[in-house]
Amino acid sequence: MTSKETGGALAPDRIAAVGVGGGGTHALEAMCEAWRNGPRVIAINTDAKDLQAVRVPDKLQIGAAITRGLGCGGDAKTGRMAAESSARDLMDRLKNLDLVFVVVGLGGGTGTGAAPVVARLAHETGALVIAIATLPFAFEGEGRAQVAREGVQLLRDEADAVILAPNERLFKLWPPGTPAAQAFREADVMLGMGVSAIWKLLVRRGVVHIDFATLRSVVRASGGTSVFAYGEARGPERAAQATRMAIESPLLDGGVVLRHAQSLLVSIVGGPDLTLGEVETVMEGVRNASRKDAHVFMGAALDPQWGDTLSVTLISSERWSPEETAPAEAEGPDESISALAGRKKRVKPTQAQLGFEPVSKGLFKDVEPTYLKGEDLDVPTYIRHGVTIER
Amino acid sequence: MVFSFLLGPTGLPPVVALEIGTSKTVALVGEVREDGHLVITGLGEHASVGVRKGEVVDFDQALVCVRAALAAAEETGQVAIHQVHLALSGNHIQTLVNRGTFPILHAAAGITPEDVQQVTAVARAVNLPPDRQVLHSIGQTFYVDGERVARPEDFEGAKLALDMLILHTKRGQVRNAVKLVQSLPVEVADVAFSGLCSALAVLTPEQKEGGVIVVDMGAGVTDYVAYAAGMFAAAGAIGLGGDHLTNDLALAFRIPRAQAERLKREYGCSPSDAGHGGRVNLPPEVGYPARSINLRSLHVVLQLRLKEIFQIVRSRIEEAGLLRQIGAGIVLTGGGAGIKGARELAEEVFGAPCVVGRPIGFSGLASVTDGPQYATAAGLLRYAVKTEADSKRKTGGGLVRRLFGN
Repeated sequence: MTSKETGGALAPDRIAAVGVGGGGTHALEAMCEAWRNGPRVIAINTDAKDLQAVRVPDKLQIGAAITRGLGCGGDAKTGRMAAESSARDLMDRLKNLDLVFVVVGLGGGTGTGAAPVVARLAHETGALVIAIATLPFAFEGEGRAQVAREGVQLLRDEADAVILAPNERLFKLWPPGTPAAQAFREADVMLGMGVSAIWKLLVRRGVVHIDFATLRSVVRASGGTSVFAYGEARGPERAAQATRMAIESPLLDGGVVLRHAQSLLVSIVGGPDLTLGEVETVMEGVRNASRKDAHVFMGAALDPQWGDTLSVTLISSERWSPEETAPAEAEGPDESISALAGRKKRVKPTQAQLGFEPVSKGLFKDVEPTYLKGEDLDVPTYIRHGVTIER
Repeated sequence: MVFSFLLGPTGLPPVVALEIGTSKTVALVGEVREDGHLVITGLGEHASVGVRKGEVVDFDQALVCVRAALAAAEETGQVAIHQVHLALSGNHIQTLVNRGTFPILHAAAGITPEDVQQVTAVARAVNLPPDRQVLHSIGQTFYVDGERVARPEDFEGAKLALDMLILHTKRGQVRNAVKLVQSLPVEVADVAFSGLCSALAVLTPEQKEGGVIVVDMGAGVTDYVAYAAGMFAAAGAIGLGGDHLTNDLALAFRIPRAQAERLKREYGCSPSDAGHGGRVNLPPEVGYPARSINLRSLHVVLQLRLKEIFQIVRSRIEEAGLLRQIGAGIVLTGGGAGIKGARELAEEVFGAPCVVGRPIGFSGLASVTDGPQYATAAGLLRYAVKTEADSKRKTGGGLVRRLFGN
């Protein structure tokens, strides 16, 4: 992999973050403002006016012939066509890259439609693609939620890894009277944080290095989708504080996701004064908050410009599936479903919720089950038919 | 021509079929003789790793198997493989029938070939969810003003309709398989449903005319395809297969899977040799002591599973309203066809005669033309030759028409 060629870290000039649609470009803008010397940033939108207002040096308007410089009006098909029609321009911007972040707010037309195309094109030029996407707030309506769900499916087909930030979870951060405009703004900032955290994880030559393969294995674990959380603090108690902020982040559902995650990745970025004791504090905090048998990967990086700040980023696998394709799982001992139920009812989740395997499936215990009329056919027929076998 | 030695006897380059199955990966090289006969000149085979229920789950491991199979096929076939046709199966395969209608504006002039083309295009255009992809669209029946007709060009009417059977699957599955082959790097010319391929390999026109069900039982997936009155009537795939038989045995008798696999192959579920109280002795294996198991129990475990698989196929065919139209019976093929007693069991479940289907109309490597386990790959060769000929004819015709007006 590329990481080997450059001696452990990816070359920064061969990485780009591509913001697609309104949500994606604004998130990158927020990231650029908060933090200089980041990755190359490219803003892509169909809406010329919106694109002009974004303070990002490299911009590309797509599908001018299709939308006449306006937005897509929430139609993902138009967004896809816009991107396909500008495929050549996109390819020009995306070539000579090793790693591309596709940053998008799903639910709208341009983002949902164009992001999978951008991911595909980036992939075709030979880059690895990480898609980082927000899911719309509930108040945005079921229509947008549906569009976003389809967008996730398409992104998962095209990108090497998909990391999600469900906006709805951010709600708990703010008092009830928060204006909608501010909510969107904060969601964009959160998305930007996620990009920069993952970027740092891969680019900064770490004390304990993490390569893309590790990130991907976490993100791909259990075939689900991943979420991330970010925390930072300074001062004498910074390690404990940053860890708490990340663990209790609303994006991890206040820690519920973490307690069910099968694998997670912890990234610690600090200044030159980062101590081993602090790394230990962070890891202990994370381990206490996660499942006993979870696979925990750790990376630590030093950034001279970081000063006395310490930041903790958690990337955790979360089983997520569109409702319509998982009717059978709803009845089973599915961890994520019980986790969601646990959130609503505020029941303290315990180990008992993990359930147990009632009947053996042998060879098929880790593969997608073959269901027919609610029956798991991977379980031996003689067991389901209740036939006693004389051995 | 310098490179003419690379071409087959008819001047066509050899075609290559690749099937990445659950238990084995098969690559076949075929050439077309002057009389249209397919000669199988190369065979590469490798045990599959990283494939479950017909789908690639471990990219790197599967890649090794595909590479080995293709290399062996290159060696035996004495060709360099740059392009393959790929067979696909899996639990995600689904079908739907889409009726396309097209108004005939010039009713008095009769229905023209252009109208037929138009209605075909309309019937082909289905709206699938974004994660689904069409694998095949196969025309079934034409209707002129609601009346069923065989050849619409012979009729006059105001409305032309066509029923199109659309076979679709998960987009990601196709992409993964294609990506795998492309990373070798080898081009993928086309993908085809493995059940359809098997049917192309083992059926005669008479069987299709009489009505027949092809059941291709692989290790991970059982495909089925039904023909009625010469027409492609129904198809599907169930994520159950020979591996389930092995797994059931392993769990029932608490024996290692390799031993269960051997027992399955050797004893099967044939009711004839299920002597009462007969026992099979098992040698000791690492972690498992030597022991003996009840032969009748072994048959019962296998019978229950096989019967269930056949019953699911039967109920699907019944739902499609085709069960009464199956005059030519059942053709059982794939690795599962080799299990003792499977044929008799299928006859019992379907209440129709059942034969084991082997590739017909092929010559060349005898092991291929004799074995039901190669039906898919052999049929895929036929599919490849057929589609290539079709596309040639189409572009040729178009060119001629363009050159000479009309």
